[in-house]
Amino acid sequence: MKKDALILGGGIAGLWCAWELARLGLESTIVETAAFPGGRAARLCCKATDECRRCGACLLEDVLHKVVWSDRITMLLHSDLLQVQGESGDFHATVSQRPARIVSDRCNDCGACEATCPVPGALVRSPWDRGLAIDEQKCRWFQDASCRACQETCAQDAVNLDRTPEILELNASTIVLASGFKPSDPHDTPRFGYGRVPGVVTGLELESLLRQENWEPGPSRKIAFIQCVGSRDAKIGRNYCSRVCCGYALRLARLLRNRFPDLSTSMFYMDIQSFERDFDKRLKEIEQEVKLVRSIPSEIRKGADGSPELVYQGLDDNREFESFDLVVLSVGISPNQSSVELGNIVGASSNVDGFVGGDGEAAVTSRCGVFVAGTVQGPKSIEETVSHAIRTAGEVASCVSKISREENE
Amino acid sequence: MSRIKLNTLDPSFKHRVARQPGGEAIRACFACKACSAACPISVVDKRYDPRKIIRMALLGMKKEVLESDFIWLCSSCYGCHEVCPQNVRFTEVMFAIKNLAVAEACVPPGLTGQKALLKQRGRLYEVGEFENEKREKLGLPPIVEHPEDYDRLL
Amino acid sequence: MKASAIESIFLTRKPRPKEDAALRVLVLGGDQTGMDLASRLAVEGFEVLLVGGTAVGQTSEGVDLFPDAVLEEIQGFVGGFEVILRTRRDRLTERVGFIVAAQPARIVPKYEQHSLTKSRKVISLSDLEAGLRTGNALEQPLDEWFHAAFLYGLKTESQPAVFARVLDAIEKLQGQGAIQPYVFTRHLKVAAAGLERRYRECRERGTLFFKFDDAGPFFDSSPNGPVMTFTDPLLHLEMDLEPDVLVVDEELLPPTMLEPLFKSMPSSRFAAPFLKPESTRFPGVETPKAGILAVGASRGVFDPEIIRGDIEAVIVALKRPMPEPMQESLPGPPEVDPGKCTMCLTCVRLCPHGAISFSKHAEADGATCTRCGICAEECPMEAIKLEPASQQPEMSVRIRNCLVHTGAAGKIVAFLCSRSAAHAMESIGRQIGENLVPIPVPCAGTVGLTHILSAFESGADGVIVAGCFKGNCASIYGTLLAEDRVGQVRGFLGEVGIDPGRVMFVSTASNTPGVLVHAVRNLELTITRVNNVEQCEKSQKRGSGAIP
Repeated sequence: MKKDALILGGGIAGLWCAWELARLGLESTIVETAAFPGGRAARLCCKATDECRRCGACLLEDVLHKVVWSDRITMLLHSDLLQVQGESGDFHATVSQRPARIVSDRCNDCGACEATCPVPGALVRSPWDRGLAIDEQKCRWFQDASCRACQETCAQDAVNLDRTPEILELNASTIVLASGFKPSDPHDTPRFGYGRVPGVVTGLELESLLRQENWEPGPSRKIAFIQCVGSRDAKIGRNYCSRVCCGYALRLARLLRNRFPDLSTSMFYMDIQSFERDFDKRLKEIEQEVKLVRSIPSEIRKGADGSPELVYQGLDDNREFESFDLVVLSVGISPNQSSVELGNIVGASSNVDGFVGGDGEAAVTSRCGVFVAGTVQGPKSIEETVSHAIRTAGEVASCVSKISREENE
Repeated sequence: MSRIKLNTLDPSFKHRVARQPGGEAIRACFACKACSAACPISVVDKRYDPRKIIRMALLGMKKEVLESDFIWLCSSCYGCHEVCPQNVRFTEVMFAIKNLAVAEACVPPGLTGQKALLKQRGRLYEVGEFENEKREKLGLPPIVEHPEDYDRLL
Repeated sequence: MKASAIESIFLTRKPRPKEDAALRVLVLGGDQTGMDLASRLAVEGFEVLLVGGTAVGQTSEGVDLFPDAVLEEIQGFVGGFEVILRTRRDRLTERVGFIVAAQPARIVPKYEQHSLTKSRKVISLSDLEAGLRTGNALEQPLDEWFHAAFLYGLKTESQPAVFARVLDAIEKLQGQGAIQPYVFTRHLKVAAAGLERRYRECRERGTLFFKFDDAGPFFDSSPNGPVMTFTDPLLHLEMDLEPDVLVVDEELLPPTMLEPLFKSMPSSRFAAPFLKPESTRFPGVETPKAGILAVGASRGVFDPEIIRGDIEAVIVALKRPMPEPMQESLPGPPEVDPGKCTMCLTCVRLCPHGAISFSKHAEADGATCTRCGICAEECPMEAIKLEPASQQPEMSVRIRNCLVHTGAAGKIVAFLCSRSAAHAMESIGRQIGENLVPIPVPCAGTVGLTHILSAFESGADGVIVAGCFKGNCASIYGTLLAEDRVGQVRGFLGEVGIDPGRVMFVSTASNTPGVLVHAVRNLELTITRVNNVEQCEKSQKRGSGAIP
């Protein structure tokens, strides 16, 4: 049965696009590689203090509720696209669906498997704290069949390691690539000490820490944010601004100060990008709350007391050495290797920055009938991603209507 | 220092530096200060700051840059070069600026002195009998001055 | 398997099932965006009335131009708005299904902010662009180089869209000879596609950037023209520049002619001067009122690339079948009892979505009403009744039933906003016990004294009202009303012998289950403490009979 759209990626862009298409009366299938939908936005925390900060993270929850109830949207989890044949109006896709190793009907969320699993991170909890899945990249059973601890421990018989993937053949008029981004790898700028100096994390890691609600900064109560890590950097080939980092760093700084009023935050930046209306007023507030230093450090090293130490040129052109409890690298948005591979499979070319699709804010690609939605096409905030997904839905609908007219002729 | 009049500076200077081998990327600098924080000389002499030198060159302060003594302080450690997110390749830019300085006959006396020593002895430091005696005792071959080699190079 | 009820009208061009006005669209334009949108709509089968802009230019079939007209008034609702347009000679009344505000930004050069006045050498960015388009030769420079100074984002922050224009202008200028451009700025806005790359190219072609952290340059004038004095932020040296042209940047502001649209939406004062609030609850081009859409400047977007996307979003919004498949399970709009309605117009003036009209009595429009229930709670005559969600009994019955079925002690009734707290509740799982009785409500703004007292009457020990965070309410101020009301109720409760601490208001989002858990725990502690105090007081009274 031919669907109107095959959507590759079940993050917020793919979900919202499917939702808008459903509202227009069109049917789609979402192919998502992970065990849970939601993509990266599911791991972000709410930034509200006394009021909403418009980060957009809760938009995911909204759309997920709507998608789940729609009978026009089919969601295939644990699934990967293998190949695509055909053309606009009649694409034939082969998808491999790994079966759910943990059967959700039987799992009672007791956590016994997590306790016995020898590999950290091999058992992944859903972003909504309910339900578990196995990460096949990490799990030993999938490497060398050497461990069945979870299956042996489970009292509910909910773990099944033996099922084999199923191959599905899908048919759709259009394809939408919505496979998202990869956070810029902080190892690309090794002078910032990620992985070498303790206490250096990325912005996304901080969001996950904050979602846990019981995390505390260290004794000196100082946190530094370093902007433009992996963006605006010709040396590593990222000649663009990732757009979201100034916004997320400052929202996180405000959230942190709200939770820990004695905390001091500093931000090391080049130019601050606006992220709210009436930004002048907002900037004045920021200047009161955060110590703004217009200087990018040359390095982050391990200080004498083991905490991260920043080396930077200060206001009076003096060399400064300052330690912090935590240094947050505001990593940017970069192209995702699997997006590029998917782009190759569907025949859509990448632009000069390595993102799939055209320049600007386009929803179309070089291949007729193939569209892009969200950060797969370039850096966007969550709200911008939603606007983009709506745009893509419009393009898809026009394409489908054109195809339908041609078929009737 | 009295107020600098931008209108009297030389906008073409930066393009000149960019035409010199090594100086191509000087205009790409966007003043992030990472190089300043990496420079070992900057701690010792605040006048020597890679970012400031670039800035003076970009503004067209040709006289101040070429006739200054601090451009000769660069230790060529490549620290700035490594951290620069815009690939300005500042160590190479310094070579370009120094070459331009020499071309305009702005050479610090130390450098002329060094050139003379090289021409005379083929070495910067005099090697005397004292050193060669010590070398013989340690079983090392003696050092012989070959100024004619350097004559050919220079 | 296609859903049976609604056929996709996107695949056909059949007229909507409702009125024929549903196919007519009023576009408030004034520049190319309005023209493009109008043409696009016409191609999709809509009849367009384009107000504003010029009569010159290609007009598609299906587009009626009213270049001199001004929108005076709007009445009615989506599918059948009545709009009054005033032209130079006439007042016209038209019936349209949708209204799209797609006017260009209001552009205001920042002369005043810098205490500058327009002169031969001091011009705005738009003036420069106009000059470059007509190919007017530049004034002769004072020396061999033409010094062009641009002010960008000083005094007040600017936009990526304006930076793109500055880069364009510099590029065009440099094609005309030995130009040395300078950009005086504070924060460069490069957060748009391609801008960082263009910024680098601009530097490589020789433009000098001055990024100030403080006031910036001072302006003076000499007989030759403007003189700028400043301290170079990198060298800390005093400098001056006599530019051959000083280009002042511009503020991009929302359009001014949105008054009639504001009047049709009571919540608009929270959004003005924009047509929609800065809230993630209204994605894309949606506004709080159904059928009214905001494109580009009216919603605070100035990037031409994104505005192109807005045009697509309008098509998507207009093509949705009415009612939508998901809306079929929504209850009907609130019923107004004509016997009780006194036409005080409170509901009309309060409905954040502008969904209520009045003739003999107040009436809610089914397609515009979101069933938030704010009107039902605010009506001073209690004349408005919210229809319960399908298969649910009336609210007070529901409260009673839920409490009866919960055996646990220390019962807490939680009125959960369906847009946030109710979703958060689903993630809570094991963390909350049997004593919590969740009651989803469409919006926290519909919860009031009656609900809370009803809960206590039916045996609750505590009540939580959970709404969205300020600024994230899908009915704009529902959460503010709820919080306010809880405050009033707490003041009241003491008089009826209930400790005010038993009622609390909490703000949550759909992804903050922790906040809800925290609130419940706090309330449980308060209830225990209050119960103990009340127990003590009771036993003391029973015991001695004397006041301790």
